[in-house]
Amino acid sequence: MSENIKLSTLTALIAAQSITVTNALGSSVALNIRDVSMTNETPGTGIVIAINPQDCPVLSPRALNFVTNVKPTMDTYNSQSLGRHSIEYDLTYQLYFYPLGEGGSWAANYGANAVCVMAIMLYFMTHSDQFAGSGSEDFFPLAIPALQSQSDATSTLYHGAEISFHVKHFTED
Amino acid sequence: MATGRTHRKNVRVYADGYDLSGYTRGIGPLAETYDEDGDFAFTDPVKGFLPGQAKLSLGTQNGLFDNTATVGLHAVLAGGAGSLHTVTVAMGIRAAPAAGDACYGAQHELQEYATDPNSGMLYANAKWGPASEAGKTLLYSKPWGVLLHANSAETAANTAIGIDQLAATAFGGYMVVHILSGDSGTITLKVQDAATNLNASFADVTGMTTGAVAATAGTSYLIAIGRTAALREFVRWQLALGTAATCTFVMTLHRAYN
Repeated sequence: MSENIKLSTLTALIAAQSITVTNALGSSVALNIRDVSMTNETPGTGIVIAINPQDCPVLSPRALNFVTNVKPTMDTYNSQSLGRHSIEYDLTYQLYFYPLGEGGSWAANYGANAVCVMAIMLYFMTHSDQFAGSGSEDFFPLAIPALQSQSDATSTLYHGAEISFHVKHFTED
Repeated sequence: MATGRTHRKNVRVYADGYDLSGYTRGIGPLAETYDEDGDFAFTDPVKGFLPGQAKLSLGTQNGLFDNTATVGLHAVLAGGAGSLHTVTVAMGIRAAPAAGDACYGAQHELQEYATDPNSGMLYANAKWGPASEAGKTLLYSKPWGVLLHANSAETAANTAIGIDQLAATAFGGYMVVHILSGDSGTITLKVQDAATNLNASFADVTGMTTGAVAATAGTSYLIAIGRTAALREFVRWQLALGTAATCTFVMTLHRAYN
C-alpha cells in the first residue's frame, strides 16, 4: 500500500471546474480558476504573476498561506504499511472580481462582486462530490470571512473575497 | 466497486421504496447482537457463554423534518410509527454506493417518530425497533449483504457479468428491492446466479423474484428463500419488462453463510 496526499490532484480538479458567473460588465462568463502552479514567481527575473483585469473574475490560490491548519491524524496504530492515516487542512483562494475604482468609484461593482462570490460558494456547496476523484474524502467550502479588497502580486487592488475550503484525505491509495 | 475505508457521507438510506439519504443526518448503530447464554458450574474457574438468539437493530435515524409530499422524511415516516418498514442502508466506498458494496437490509417496525420544535433547526428522529416478528427475515440472523443494483434507472435486461461472492453456499438468503421511480407499468425484478461469471451462464434463483409488479415509486420487497437453498458463486440483478419501459430501483442480496 502506498500513501499520498493528493494536494496537486485536488487543486488541478478545482481549477478544472466550470463555473459560470456574471462579470463586472454584466456578462455571463466562465470563472477563471488558477491551479496552484500558476501562482509561482519566476526566480531571479523579478517576474511575478499578476492578475490581468481582462481575465476577471479570477479565483487564484492565495500566495501567502494557501495551505493552513494542517492536522495529520493516526487513525490506527500498526506498522507503517498497515496503519491508516488521515490529514485535514484548509485551502484559501482569493477572488479577484474587478479592479477597485474601475467604473467611476471604489464602490462600483461592489454588489456584482457580492453576487459573484455567492455564486461561487453555492457551486462548491452543491458540487462537493465532484472532488472524490482527487482522493479527498471530504471537501466543502469553509468560510468567506468578508468581502474585501484583494491585492495581486503588483499590489493592484481588486474587489473580491477570500474563499476557503476544508479538505480531508485518507492517505492510502 | 471500490474497497477500503470510507466516509459517512457515502452512506445511503432507503425505506419502503424512498430514498431518504438527502434527509438523513445519521442512522444506527446497525447492530447484530447475540444473547449471552451461560453454561458453567461452581467448579469452573471461568464463566463460559454461548451466543444465543440474535437481535438485529437499526438504531435511531436522525433527520431533517421535511414535509415534501410523498418523499420527504416526514411524509414517509410520520404516519409509520408502529408499522413494518423495509429498510436498506448502503455503504459506498469513498463514493456513492455501487454494485458490490456492503449494505444492511432488514424489516423493522418504527417504534417512535419524534420531532422537537424547541430547537432552532427542526429535526425529526425515528427510533427503529429490532427485526420485526411481522417481517420476513427471522430465518436469517445476518443482515449484511451486497448491493447488486445501485440507485439508477434500467430500461433493458442485464447482460453484464456478476459479482463474485467467492464461493457457492447452500444456506439460502434473501433479497431486498426498493422501487424508487418508474412508469407504473409491470416489471419483474429478480436475482440470478452462476457458477462461472459469463452472461450466458446466469440463471434465475428459484423464488428470489418479485414476480410481475408495478414499477411505481414507494414500493419495496423483501423476499427470502429457504434456509437450505443453493446459491452459486456469482450473482447479479436481472429484470423482465412487462408493460414498463423504465424502472429506477435498488436491489440487494443477503446470502447466508451458515
